[in-house]
Amino acid sequence: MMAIINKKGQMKNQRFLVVPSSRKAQTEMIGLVVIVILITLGMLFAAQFALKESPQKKIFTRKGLSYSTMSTIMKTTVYEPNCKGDFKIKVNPQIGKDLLEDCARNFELAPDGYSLYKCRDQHSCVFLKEFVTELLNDTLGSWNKHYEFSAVLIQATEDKPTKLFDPPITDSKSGGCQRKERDSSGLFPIHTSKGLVQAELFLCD
Amino acid sequence: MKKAQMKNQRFLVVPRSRSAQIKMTETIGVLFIFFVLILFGIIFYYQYQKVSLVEKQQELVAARAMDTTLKVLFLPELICTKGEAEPEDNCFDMMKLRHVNETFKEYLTKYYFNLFSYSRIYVQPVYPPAEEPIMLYNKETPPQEDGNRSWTHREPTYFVVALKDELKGTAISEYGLGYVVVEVYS
Repeated sequence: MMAIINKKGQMKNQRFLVVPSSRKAQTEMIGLVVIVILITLGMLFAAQFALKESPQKKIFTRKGLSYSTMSTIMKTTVYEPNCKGDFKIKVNPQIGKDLLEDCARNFELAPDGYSLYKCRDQHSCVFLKEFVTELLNDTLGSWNKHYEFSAVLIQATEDKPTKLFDPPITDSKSGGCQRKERDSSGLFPIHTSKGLVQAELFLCD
Repeated sequence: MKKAQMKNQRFLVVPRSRSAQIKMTETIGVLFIFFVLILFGIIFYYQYQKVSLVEKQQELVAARAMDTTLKVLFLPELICTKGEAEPEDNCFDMMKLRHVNETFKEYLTKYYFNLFSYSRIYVQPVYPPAEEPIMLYNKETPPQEDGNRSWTHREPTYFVVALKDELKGTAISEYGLGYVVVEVYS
């Protein structure tokens, strides 16, 4: 790549390295391309971390656990003093079938008014709130899971559903699952004479 | 001469011997930085692989725990049934639960080990309160030659279940609340 200009010039040029400026630009371009490739690889690697989805197993467990907890709570029979209601045949009430229905029917009279069941000498809504909290704290709470239990009454005469537990039943530590990645048990509907009661449990880590 | 100068303007002119030195140093510098970066990359990747391998291992154990839990939840020896009606979800029959341990022990090697492998399964009643958990199955990994236990980790999975008890003496089935714990040894 020596430039031959003339005899004198040739002599002079032997002491210098002469690089064509176009070739130098090419080399620089290759360097830039290598840097861009390295940065792209780095970003792809970082994206792999950032976009890593939470494992399916975890979601499945949380969903399954919320459903199983909710269905079990709904079935649970309550053995508490004064819980048997005004019946000739004394039967222990179930949370979903009896107590939640009673709470929905006599919701307006809570906390001190009439309810069919007076477990622990409390109105059924007050008792339910206390009892469900106990059950959830003994299970989900002891495994450091956060939860939110809510129940609404949908009446034909009302525009908006009425919240039976306001605020909803939550664990004391986190105050529920608002603004968190959560899974729902799905809605558990109960038909009552007052309207449709829909109960739901949210679970989050 | 003027023409030659004009031509020379297209070239970068550096003293030859010095430029070779600079170029060598530059190349060595670039190569050094390049290999340092590669080394960093390899170290980072090695650490990442190490962590992800442990995570993967834990994930596999957790998946095994999950599978075992599902098997337990739908085990005919435990699930609540009512004649020919469909079995109830997330429900264990207390009458079955009280005696299933004997069946599990009797057919452990023939049948139940293939289902549950090395694990511990028990049911803890929560309501009505009961002190003792009901142990269903417990098979630890064989101990090491020096007699120490060979498992290092026990992955637990919890599921809340209804405990149906028909020995309460009422016409309607009554349900307690408890949870089943499946711990997988690894």
